[in-house]
Amino acid sequence: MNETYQQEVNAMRFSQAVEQWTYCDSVVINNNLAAFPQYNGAGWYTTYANMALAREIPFFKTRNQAMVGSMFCNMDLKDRFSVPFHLFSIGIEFIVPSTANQAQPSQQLSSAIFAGEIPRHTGFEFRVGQDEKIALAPNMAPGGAGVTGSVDQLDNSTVGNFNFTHIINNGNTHCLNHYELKERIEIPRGETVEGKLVLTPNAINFLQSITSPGFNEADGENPGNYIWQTAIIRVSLYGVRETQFRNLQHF
Amino acid sequence: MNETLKQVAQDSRARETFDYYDSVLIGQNQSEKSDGWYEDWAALSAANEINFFNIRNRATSGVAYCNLDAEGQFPVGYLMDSIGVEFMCPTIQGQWTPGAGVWNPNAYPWTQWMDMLNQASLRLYIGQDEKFNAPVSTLPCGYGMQGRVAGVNNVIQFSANQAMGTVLNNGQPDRGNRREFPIPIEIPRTAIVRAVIEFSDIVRDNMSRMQAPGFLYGAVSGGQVPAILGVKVSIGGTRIVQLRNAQVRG
Repeated sequence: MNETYQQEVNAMRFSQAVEQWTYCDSVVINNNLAAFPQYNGAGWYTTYANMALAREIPFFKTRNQAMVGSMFCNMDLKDRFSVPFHLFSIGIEFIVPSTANQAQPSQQLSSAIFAGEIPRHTGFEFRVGQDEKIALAPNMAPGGAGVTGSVDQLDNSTVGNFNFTHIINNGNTHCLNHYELKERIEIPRGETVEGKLVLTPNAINFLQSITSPGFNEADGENPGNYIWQTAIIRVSLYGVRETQFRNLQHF
Repeated sequence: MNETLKQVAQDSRARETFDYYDSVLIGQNQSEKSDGWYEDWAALSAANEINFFNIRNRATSGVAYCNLDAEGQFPVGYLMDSIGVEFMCPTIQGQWTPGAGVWNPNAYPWTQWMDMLNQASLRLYIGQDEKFNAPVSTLPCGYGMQGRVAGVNNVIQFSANQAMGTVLNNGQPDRGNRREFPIPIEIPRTAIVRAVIEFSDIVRDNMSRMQAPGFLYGAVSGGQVPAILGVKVSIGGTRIVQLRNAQVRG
């Protein structure tokens, strides 16, 4: 390596910087997915029962930003990291619709069961390369994000014919409320990663028994105007990534 | 510039805490309109993405909604150490179709609005570089309303078959609850700044069928209170300004 080239390499080294970043990936459950062919192959599900058949639900393996959009997955590559990443904390969110399902009003609490029970009856594994780095139940890793509040019926005696739902959140919606890693996990550039949600027989039973997201209950009077509901499971990796800064930004 | 002058310039430079924010409002009966705002869900649905910090300033929108001095550029150097996105909901449920006296089938625009943030992402560009890219729900703003509109047994009495509402919030309204950057992002003076919120195709499909935010239910007799929803992106940090000598030396 000649001297000039070495100087260039040194300059690049100085311009290397770390920046806070969150990588996330989501699994969507929506009964109207057939209307969105752009999501074909995303590994998403139309019903909870279909998801139960999978038994293992992969993350950071099947989707990237170009495929589903950055609101669901902001990975540049489907299954490996494009830059070195230092993982500081992890959050797993179970996101449910805020209104009840018009198709099955008798099972208006399905969302509560999905968000409240499934995190306690599934396991989550996270692998970097061939090594398992994290294994825990999702309810131990609150997402730290989401909506707080509820929408109630004035008179609970009329629950059956109108809206009654609570927005359930697995954890306090505070952005520091994640599963914090005391020893950070180092993910080299180009390394493969995999998150995996493993369903227990109890979770499978729940998922096969509850009503899936359909359409907003308030749409019952106007069947042509369905507002389709969506449930989401999102895994977020919080940390810092190493990037190359452009010199202009420094000077 | 000689050394003495340079030193004077350095001395008169000061840092001050300052939040910059910009808002997009949605509602067909607003008293005011600004660039990049939407009258109904269908119009919002037709937009691929909604933009912040490069289309409005404090004069065009009012300081309640935007406090930028210049569209698209920061007039001062800035160290950005937090970001938050607020989804604004009406306090009580709407909406009542004016005149017809009928219940709007999309009676819960505010709950839909809260569902939508789960399928939205925010990207922040400084100059030509993407500095931030994450789902919106991971970015609580740390402020806003939280509470409850009580039903028949408390203060507000609606007819028995209507729901009571709660003021929803995307996160705890606690100033400590913002997305922080331990390593501040440097924004040079006059740098181009642009934030973009993008909704999923699923949400945009839903929006295209939702009725426009009209009026709130339970409005006072003889008047109608418009339903206004909105989204506000705020960035917190420190700006580096030039103080006048008189200010420094009293």
